Amino acid sequence: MLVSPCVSRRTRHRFGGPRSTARLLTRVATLAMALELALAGLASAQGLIAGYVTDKSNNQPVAGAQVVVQGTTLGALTDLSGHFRINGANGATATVIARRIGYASETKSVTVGDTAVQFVLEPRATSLDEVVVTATAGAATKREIGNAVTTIDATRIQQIAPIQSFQELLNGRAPNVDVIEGSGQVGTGAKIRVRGISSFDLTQTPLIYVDGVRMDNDQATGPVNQAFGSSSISRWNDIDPEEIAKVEVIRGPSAATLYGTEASNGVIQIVTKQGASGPARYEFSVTQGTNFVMDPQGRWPTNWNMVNGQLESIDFTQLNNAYKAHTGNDIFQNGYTRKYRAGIGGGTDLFQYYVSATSERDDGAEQDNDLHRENFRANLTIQPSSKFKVETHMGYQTGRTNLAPEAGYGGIPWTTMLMDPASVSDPAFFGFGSSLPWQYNEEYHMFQDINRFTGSIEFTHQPTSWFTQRLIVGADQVNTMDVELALRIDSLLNTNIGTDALGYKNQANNTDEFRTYDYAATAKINATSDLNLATSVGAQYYTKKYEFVSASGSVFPAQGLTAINALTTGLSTGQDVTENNTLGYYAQETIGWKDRRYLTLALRTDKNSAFGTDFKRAYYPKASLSWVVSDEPFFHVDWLNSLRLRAAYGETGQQPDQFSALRTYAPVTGPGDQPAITALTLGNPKLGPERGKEFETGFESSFLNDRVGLEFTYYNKNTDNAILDQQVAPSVGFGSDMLVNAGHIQNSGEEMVLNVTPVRRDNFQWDAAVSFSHNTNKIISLGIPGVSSISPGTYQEDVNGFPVGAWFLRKVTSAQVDGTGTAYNIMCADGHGGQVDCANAPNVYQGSSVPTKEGAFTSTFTLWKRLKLYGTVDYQLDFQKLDGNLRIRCYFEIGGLCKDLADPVHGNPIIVAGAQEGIPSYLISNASFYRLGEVSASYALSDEMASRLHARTASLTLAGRNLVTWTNYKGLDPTAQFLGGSRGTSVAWEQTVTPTLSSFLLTLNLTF
Amino acid sequence: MKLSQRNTTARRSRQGILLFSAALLLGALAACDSLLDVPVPSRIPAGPLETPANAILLANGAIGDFDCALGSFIIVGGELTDELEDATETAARWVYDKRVVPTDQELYSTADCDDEGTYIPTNRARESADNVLRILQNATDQQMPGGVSRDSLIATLAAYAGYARIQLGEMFCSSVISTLNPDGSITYGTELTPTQMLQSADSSFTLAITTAQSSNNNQDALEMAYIGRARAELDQGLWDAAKADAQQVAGDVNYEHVSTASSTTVRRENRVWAENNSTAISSSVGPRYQNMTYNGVPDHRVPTVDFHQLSESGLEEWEQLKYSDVGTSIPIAKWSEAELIIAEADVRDGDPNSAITIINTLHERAGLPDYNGATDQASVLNQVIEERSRELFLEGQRLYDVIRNNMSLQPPPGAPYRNGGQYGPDGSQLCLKLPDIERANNPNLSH
Repeated sequence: MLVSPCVSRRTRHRFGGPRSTARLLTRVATLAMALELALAGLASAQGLIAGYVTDKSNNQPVAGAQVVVQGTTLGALTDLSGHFRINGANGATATVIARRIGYASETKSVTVGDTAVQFVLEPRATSLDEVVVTATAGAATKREIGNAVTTIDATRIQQIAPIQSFQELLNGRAPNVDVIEGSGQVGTGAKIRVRGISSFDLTQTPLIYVDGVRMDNDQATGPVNQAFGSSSISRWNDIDPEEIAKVEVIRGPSAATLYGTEASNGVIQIVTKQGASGPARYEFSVTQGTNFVMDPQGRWPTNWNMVNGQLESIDFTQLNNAYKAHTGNDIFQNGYTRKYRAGIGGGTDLFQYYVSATSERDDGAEQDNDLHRENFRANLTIQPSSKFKVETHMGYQTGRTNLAPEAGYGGIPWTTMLMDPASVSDPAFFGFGSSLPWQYNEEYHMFQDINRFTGSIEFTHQPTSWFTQRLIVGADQVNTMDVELALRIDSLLNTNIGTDALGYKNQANNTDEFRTYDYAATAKINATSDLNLATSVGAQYYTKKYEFVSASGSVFPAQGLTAINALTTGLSTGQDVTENNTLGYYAQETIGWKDRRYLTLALRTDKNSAFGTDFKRAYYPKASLSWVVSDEPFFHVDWLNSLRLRAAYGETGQQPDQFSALRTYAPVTGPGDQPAITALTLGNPKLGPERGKEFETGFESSFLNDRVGLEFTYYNKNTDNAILDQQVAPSVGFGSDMLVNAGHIQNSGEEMVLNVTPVRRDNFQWDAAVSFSHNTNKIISLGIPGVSSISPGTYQEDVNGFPVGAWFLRKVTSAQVDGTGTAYNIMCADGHGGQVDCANAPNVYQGSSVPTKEGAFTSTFTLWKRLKLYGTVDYQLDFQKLDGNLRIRCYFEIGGLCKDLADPVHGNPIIVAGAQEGIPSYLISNASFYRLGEVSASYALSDEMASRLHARTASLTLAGRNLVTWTNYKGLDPTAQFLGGSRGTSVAWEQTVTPTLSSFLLTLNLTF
Repeated sequence: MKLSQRNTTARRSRQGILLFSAALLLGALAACDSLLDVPVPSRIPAGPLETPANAILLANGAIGDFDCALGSFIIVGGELTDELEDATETAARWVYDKRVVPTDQELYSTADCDDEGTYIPTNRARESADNVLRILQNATDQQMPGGVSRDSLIATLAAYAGYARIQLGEMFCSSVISTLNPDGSITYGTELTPTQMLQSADSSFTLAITTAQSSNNNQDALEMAYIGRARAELDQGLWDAAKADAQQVAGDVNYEHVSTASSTTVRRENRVWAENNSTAISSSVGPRYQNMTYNGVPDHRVPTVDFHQLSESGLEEWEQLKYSDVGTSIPIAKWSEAELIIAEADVRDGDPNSAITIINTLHERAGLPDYNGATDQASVLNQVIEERSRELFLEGQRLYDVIRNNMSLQPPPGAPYRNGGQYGPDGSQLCLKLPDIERANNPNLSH
């Protein structure tokens, strides 16, 4: 046995995190060691292969490398010192392969029993032998696949970048993956889109798998703290990024065909960390830092108003001073963030384990906003024989996110944005626009509690060297409670809070259940010495179920009451259950020629419970080619180390919502409180899935001694039968819309990733990466006869030839303002380069509401092998955003606090005319931005210094996030927006949303 | 092991694996249909529900839809006229109060009855009643549940179908009747003028009357239909026909058919009370109705009280006391309405004295002194309209009284609105124009 009890005791004392976490961790560790001891006793010492893996460039150990015995399920990960240990190998010799992201793989024939096998991996800007997760059984390398697959080495990134959430891990690291943050409040999420908008009205959200299990991927949950139906907590961020070993992004239908219905928006595969054979290794990290709103004085606009006939102004500094005078604090605080994490990994040849626990507490910049969460993970691997392996992955999260009201709900962003010089001396306002910040803090309380378990068990069976089958059974169980509570506070009744101070409460208890049953088998046959055939079949059964039970009401009869049953008015309850099941099968044939030319053909078929009764089954074909040109005998280009050409075509689908095909009634209470029904959905029995069809082609290459890697992809993705939420004439008697298979949407573009190591010396290395993607989104056809335009939201239209959800408004092109401040001679764009009277003016195109270009520049300097200086600038370009902050300040129907309207005689005539005539085109502006998203300095302490801390390794990282943004956008933040609801579908609409926070973090990592 | 033996073993092994895989797939295939079954615990598929056996449930659904639509019809009509003023700081709601309702405005065109929506809930109420009528008219008496008279139910549903049409005719400048066919297809209607829609209401009420008379056991539906038809006729200027129908109820002094309410769900709440009560005032009582008196005597038909509080938008809040709680019923048709229809017909026919008699009868019931104003035709007609505004306060009658009598609006069009902008309407009509959602999605309408 490799771990002694005294090690365990020492470690227990050393942990400095929350006591509960440490206690739990200790118990798990004890259990793991006991299991390890027991299983080690059963393990045979026969067939041992052991050794270590090092980096050729610096001779440093390579941790996390995958070492496998070819043709068996046997394998191990290297530990932090680069060592591995595999037992159970048969025969006198075995073929062993070592792989790691960022390195060329190495294959060796070794003698069974050799315990000093040495692999020296060579860094590669592009590695074609990297193993990627596929829908099929058995390992597949990148060279076999005709698609671009982006792999994010989460373990490595965590060591240098200030990653606090999964969306931050994803942002800027995969081309054409837009991470559009919604709110700056801690605990909130982002819209994540892959290769543009593929649907009119179904979700744009990619599928997400964790260790083979399909997960709840909702990006806007929780209490409706933004109003307009918009919630802001993303399920994507539940998983602790430090639990992740790697992430793979499969971007389009050509790669995701085998994932079938629902995969049109791409697939994100998350692989969590595994234990490695060897002594127990203990990890401990502690992060301390702060979150803050960067430069509120410079970002909040100055407001104007006529006060006693004089034009007066007020800015954020004056407002903050007023706030400080009453509270002693600033309006926005520096939120304290802290995170404690501990993990143990290790095992024997028979059994490996990895367990971890994380406790996190983040305070936002607003008093009411904070997050506290605990994450636990236990991943176990059992290999009772060379033919059979069992892996279990279990993750659990629990915590609470408190949210402050914002956007349409009011709150601090609202009342500060509407600051008014006319109300400075009014004790009810002190210059604030509506309720006072401390009144908001006192009155409104919104939070989501979560308990989430994601687990799977995977059986891999390789009875012969040529056949592998595996079965994954998994579940993602998400229980949340959303609470929106306004307290009864009598002292606030006569304030701007008004009758809200009588109290109200909305509570919803939600249960989301995802189940995965995934069987796959692959037979690999060497038909000849040059021709390899891989035949794969699979069957998947996915279920998902959403249920909520809700209750709401208003007016607490007395202060101090908060329970639903204490409410006296407007009590209502609700419950709904929706389920959706998918059953699919596939068959795939991959033909390989001399390990350098590959042809793959596949067909998947799906049935789904949401398909209409007139739609029976969906079929999705796929074909791809991969050619490693640089492996051809004729290829002799000295400077070009590797070149692979690839092309793929594939189809996937996206299913309609459940019940969309059915005409239904809802049970209600009728006259005299008798049972009754009311029409609910109209239904469309012909409804089938959208069909995503995609062709992509490109290449990967590395050159100049593998110091430069270049990857390029062109794609053309078409969504046929795009589902449109077609409004139904209300005269039919149904208030609901009807989903129809109608239009055709096209996304096409280019993706490029360039990895460069300009300098690689003993004491200095410079690694840089540039990613760029461009997407052109266009509606080819709405598909409804006689309909040329459909409005999916305010100021938006879907029009043939233009992007989905594009901004379409009348646009004032010229106007004059008279001495009374009234605009006249107002002319608008006629859509053909001319002008027309605004009364007869058409809505004209004013840009895409989503970015069309995105990417990142990343640079890492490594000094003396210990100090890493890292920074990344990410960008999103060419999209227009509606500045709702300007709208509430500068639109006559709502407010006149901008200088143009407060003093219209001297104002911008275009704005005065637009506000006067209700033509808000001046609210739309370019929101392109570049942002210094991440910057850090990370120092790995010397072994001697680490040993003084009684640690094997120690590192210290100082990092900053979102420190600088370069943009011409005049609103608070180019990314802040509604995340859901009527203003958050596909558009970028900001209205008093807390801007993205900046942060500084200091992290200490120790291993023992 | 000999080579041949190894080959045999390998072949068997291969066959076994393939058989195992095939069995797994076949097993999954066989289970396919049941694996895709999902329960629908909160929704009821229409097919098995729409049968005569469920007639009572379906009828309750149609009446419930009407009750909900009536609440928003009263609130919207009240804000369009002088009965109510919007007290919120929600700009989207001001459009009714300002009498400028854009045809693309979400609240107007797509909101439901619990949120100041009016077009969708009123159309739903009409189609719900019509749909149940179709089921009942195609059924036999034997298919009905025990103890339920098909004719009686037809009379009731036809009366509700008529009232839904009255709301469409009174509130909207034009409206449409479309039909969802049993096979799921839609027969879209054409644009109907208010008069055409009111004529359609006449037909529904006539069906209700003839069926109620033949079944001879539904006096409530019969009187409801008579008053309804009289209202539709009054709206069309058919005074004599209106009077004739109203007189059918004249002997039933206590007659009143109501929309029930309760606190069970938001949908079941008395909508007027929900908008205006002692804990929340979203719509305040208009100045014309505050502390209303007749010759110095408080008119208890219009009970109001000063809330002594400014609303979010700075409006002095006044509370109505007609509906005392969330469960107070709202009249749909009542004897006093029939009397006022008779009075209006009389005075328009040149018999103001008969109208004064009716006014005094109503005053006596309300504890008010007799009418002592001028007795010329115009003055008495004005008084009848005034009596209607009081007797039928917040019952959804004021809007069409204003429209059909071409009454001047207060504040007048063009006057500044307190939250910005100006009062409408832009044209002469107070009615609501057909919303874009109807025009854009009905192939029979011009865009």
